[in-house]
Amino acid sequence: MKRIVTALGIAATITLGAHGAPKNITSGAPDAKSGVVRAIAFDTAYTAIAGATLANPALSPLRHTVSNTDIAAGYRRVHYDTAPSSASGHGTGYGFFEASTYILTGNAAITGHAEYHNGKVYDVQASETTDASILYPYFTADEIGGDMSREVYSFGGSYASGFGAGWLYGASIDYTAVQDWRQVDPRPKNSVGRLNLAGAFGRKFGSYSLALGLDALKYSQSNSIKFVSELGAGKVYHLTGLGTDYKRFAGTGLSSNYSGWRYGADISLYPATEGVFGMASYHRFTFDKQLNDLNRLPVNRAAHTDWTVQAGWRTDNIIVSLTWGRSRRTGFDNIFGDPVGQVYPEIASIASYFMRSWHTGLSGLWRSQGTRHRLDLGGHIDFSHRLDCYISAPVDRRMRADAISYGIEATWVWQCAGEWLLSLKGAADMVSPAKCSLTGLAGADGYFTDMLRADYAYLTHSRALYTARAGIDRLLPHGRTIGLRLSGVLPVCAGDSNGNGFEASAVFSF
Amino acid sequence: MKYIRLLILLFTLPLLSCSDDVPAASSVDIKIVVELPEQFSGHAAESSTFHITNLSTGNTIDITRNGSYAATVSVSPGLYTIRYDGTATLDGAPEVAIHASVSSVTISAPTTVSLPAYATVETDDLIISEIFFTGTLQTSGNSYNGDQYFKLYNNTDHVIYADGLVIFESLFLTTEKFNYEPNIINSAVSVDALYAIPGSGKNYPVAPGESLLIADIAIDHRTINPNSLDLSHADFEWYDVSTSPMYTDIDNPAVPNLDKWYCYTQTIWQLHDRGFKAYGLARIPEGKDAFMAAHYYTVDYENITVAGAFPMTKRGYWLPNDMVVDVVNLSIESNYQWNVTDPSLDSGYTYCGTINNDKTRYFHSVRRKFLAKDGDRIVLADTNNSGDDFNPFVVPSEIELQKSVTDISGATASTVTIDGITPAEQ
Repeated sequence: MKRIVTALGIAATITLGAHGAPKNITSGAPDAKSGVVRAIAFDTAYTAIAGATLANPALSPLRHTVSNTDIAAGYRRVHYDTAPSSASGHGTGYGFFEASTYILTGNAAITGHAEYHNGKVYDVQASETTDASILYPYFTADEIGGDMSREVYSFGGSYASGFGAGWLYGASIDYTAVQDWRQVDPRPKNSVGRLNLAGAFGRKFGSYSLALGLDALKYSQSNSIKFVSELGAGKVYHLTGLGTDYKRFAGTGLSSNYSGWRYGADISLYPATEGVFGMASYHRFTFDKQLNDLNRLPVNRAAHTDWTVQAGWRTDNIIVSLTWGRSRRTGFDNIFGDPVGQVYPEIASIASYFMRSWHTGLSGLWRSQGTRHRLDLGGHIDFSHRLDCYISAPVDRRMRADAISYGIEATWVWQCAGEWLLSLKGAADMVSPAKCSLTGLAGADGYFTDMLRADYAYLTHSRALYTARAGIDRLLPHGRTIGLRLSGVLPVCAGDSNGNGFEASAVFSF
Repeated sequence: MKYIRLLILLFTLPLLSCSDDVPAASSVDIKIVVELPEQFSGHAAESSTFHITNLSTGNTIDITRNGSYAATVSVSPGLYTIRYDGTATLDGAPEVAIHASVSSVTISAPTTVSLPAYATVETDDLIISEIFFTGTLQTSGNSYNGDQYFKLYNNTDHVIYADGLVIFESLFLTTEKFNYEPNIINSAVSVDALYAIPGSGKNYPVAPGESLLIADIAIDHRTINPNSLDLSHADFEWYDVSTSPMYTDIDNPAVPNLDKWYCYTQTIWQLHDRGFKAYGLARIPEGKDAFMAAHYYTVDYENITVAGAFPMTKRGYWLPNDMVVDVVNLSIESNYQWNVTDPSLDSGYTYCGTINNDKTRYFHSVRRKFLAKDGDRIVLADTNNSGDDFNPFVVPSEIELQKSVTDISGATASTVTIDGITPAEQ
């Protein structure tokens, strides 16, 4: 409850800050305070295409041309009949309160956000660890799983401005806390903290802004599992990748810690109005897993690197981007000798898990914008490759999943019937598996290899996600709007419906 | 146009770099050499199988090298248990099984690992066919363990007299290993409880294929705990005169007591109900007084914790390996660290439950596997490897025979088996 109050307090602070901002707004059309103008000019789809470039905090003033603050509350749910990944579960459903602001003032931009989510992750299997995508493959797991209750608190902000003759700077801070738990056996209780700091310096060259950014993330997760049933406790495993686990410590280590750092740098270029843009970034993330019950024994560690390059071109009504990314992860099993009492001497560290992935994609959006309407037509096509390996003699397991994904979307926003603003969006995203293979599992059986096979089977199916969204906003005095949003999603897997999802929310904007 | 070509080149380059650049697995070559018992020197192995188990991953490499007592294999660096099973024949003698094993071998660089081998000798004595150490649960959910028992079995084709046979419990836990000084494991078993079957030599004959039931408290436990057993028909019970009124034993005068030679506790002896110890049988020809006078010893070790190293001492008796008739190491997978007896006595372990404090372990026992029938006589497995010889975590024979409760839900046993697995009709 204390955290909720804190989050709401931050949101209120941001809101009040934004409330006083309009008199200083200098960007955008003369009637930027108009709810219609703001709703039409402030969107995320256009800038999302250049998102990798605009993530540099010094370029934050170039993200939008008008200020905007949204306060939203609602419920969001998506449920997959076949889980995309057993460790991430069959979807999520949660109520949310979200506040975000983007304020342009002078040559500076101030952003802020605060979020609170409370809900469930459905039927998580083969992992009792939060943040499956970050910590893969080193989960603590059991053979039972189930729904997980989740609370998320997140807040952050940034400031960017200029000084001197065309110099730029910016800084941002974001913090996210997650709590996952279950009230039936097995009873995990996970607390996650992610603190992200970023800073950047840059310079204007004509209409272009070039910025060099540095960022760092501190990651921590404490993870504990309890069994209280009189009928017995499940066995806890420490997974090491592709259906394998650290056999020696199976059944022990009900309490563990994950701790990691990510750091990185990027160089980004973006035009004030139209022209080319691009960025290149490098990030490295390392973490280790410790078993608290065994004197914080560091059983696994991993090192992950990401390279991203983006190049694109934009005008007022067209934006096109090519993005290329490459990732590598190497996971290590720390090997220990015979314990002397409670102390395990480390005798070796074996690199047994490898992941290599890259993706390359083209995305674009065409926009037709008037004073009372906006039409966006966008599309993307991507090719991705991922290879996961677990190699420790005599085991050599490899899973390859290549895919082509493509999609289109259309968004239409227009002012109708005087004080009403209507928005409609439709999107279709498809994934076609390309070269896929899963080798090295001959004769292997057991719960975790079954989960691996299920995850692989999902990746080998054609998938689609259809989205429809409608929103209506009432224009209020002083440029404010209040509205409702409704959306539905239909996941499809192998030609059949694979669940459903919807979102309903109320949004107050100014 | 040239910029477009450049962009296309830039973004298609990764497509061409899809080579298999996965790093090779770390591996080292090791040579495993079996050191033969003296009487087998110079005799070729008829069959030889090496089992190399990585304790971290659980992966096992099995290599067959018939005709050789050595093998070379490439393995990941790590902590290993290496086992050898083979057969050899002396001139004119029947084929003999040879086993060897070493545990907790650290392999981080190319090395030669020596395995001291021993020949399996058929035990011409009683063997342990079942240990019911977990006890039962009361209807309240509380544990009840006065109903623990051993079953001893005559696996031979002739009568064996149980008189004087000693039941012992290991001093050390299989789940806790220290650097004990002196380390006598290769020559003796460290014990903390010794109870002998009474008799002057031929009072208690056991016919081929017959068993002895030795209970903790030989009463009908169902009068105290409806989920328990009737053990009033036991052949023997162990009885302790407790120094604490909080913990007292019950003596059934109708059932003979074992002779108590020694027990570490001043109260009552109960088997470790999670199964962290080894239990065995021994023949001690010198008798109680001479043995007790000559085999007391203390063992020192350091308990090393993150808070520091603390000198510790344990006290018990050392029981020479050549007096041991049979031994069964018990442990659980999640906490197993070592066998507390020499591999020649037992090179494996058996268990009830898979994790520490496993609540499902109650109402379960370990039972020696059915091997074959010799006429009407059941022959049980006995290779001095409890991991191979026993069915772990099975319904106890007395629960089967009495059709009593098999778990806290109150379900009752409906079938009778030879070994917990094989139907009795076999």
